[in-house]
Amino acid sequence: MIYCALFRHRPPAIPFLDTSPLQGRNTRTRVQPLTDTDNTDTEEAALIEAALAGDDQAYIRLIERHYSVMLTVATGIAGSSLAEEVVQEAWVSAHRALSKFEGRASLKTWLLRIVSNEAKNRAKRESRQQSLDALPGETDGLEGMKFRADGHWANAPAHWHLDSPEALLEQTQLHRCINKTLALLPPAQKAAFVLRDLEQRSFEEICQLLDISSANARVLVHRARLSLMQVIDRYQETGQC
Amino acid sequence: MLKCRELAQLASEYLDGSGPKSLKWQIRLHLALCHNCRRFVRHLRTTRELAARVSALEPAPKGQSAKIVQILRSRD
Ligand SMILES: [Zn+2]
Repeated sequence: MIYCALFRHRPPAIPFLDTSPLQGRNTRTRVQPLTDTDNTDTEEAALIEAALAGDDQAYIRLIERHYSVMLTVATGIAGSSLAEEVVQEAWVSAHRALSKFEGRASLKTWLLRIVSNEAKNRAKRESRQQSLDALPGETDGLEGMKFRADGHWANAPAHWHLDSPEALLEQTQLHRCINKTLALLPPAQKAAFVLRDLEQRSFEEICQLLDISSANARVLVHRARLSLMQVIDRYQETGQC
Repeated sequence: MLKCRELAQLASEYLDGSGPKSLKWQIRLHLALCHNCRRFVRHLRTTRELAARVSALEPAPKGQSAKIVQILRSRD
């Protein structure tokens, strides 16, 4: 098995960002910031400064910004029963060092590392196995699809009458379906998917954060995408989740 | 030649632009010849892009961040 230390490929450079048909009207600006931009960095630096100067509201906003993704990572590693406490402890560690945070890495990158370490230690202390769903197991995530014995499609992928991303973006009911499914993904799968497709992290970083092999990280992300694809399949067919 | 089933397993890796070059060419060759797999990869790509745009994680429970701040201040 290839672990992170032996990671052979360069982290992918997110090739789809430049060609994404979802870029919106102005093709030169991203509709949604996909990484920390200078703006959010400046805003964040101001929040950190205010928080350190004793402004509780600024601190609350700072925590709220990163809470969900930290909780997702904590849950993926230590399980949902410990996750809230893990995030709390991560902030205690972060708090001690926040004044020394020099902004070389983005705050989120730094916080993700802290929460990951906290979760790994906590899982070890509680002698809890790493989430079992982190293991690829027997299935390949293709259960919903039908293949013939010779490896060809038995049922071809269904036609999507709403095929363009723009058309799908207008289906607010579908967005609810996607989020419902996202919330129900197995914790490690959800964490890998969120880090990859929502946070645009490299597989190298993901397997370090989640303490899984790079092959596992890829399998988890693929499975999550397949689950979400099946949500869209169903929606195309029935108009419902 | 790759089988459709194999392609379905490798599709994410292909979209992420990773994996060995030789495999990438095998996938391209298959896609050039297979309408079903072209559709599958197109749907997977659309899924990834749509999900990246519309996914929203549950926010922190109400009062949770304030509780953390309280803990941090008490340890100052
Ligand atoms: Zn095929």
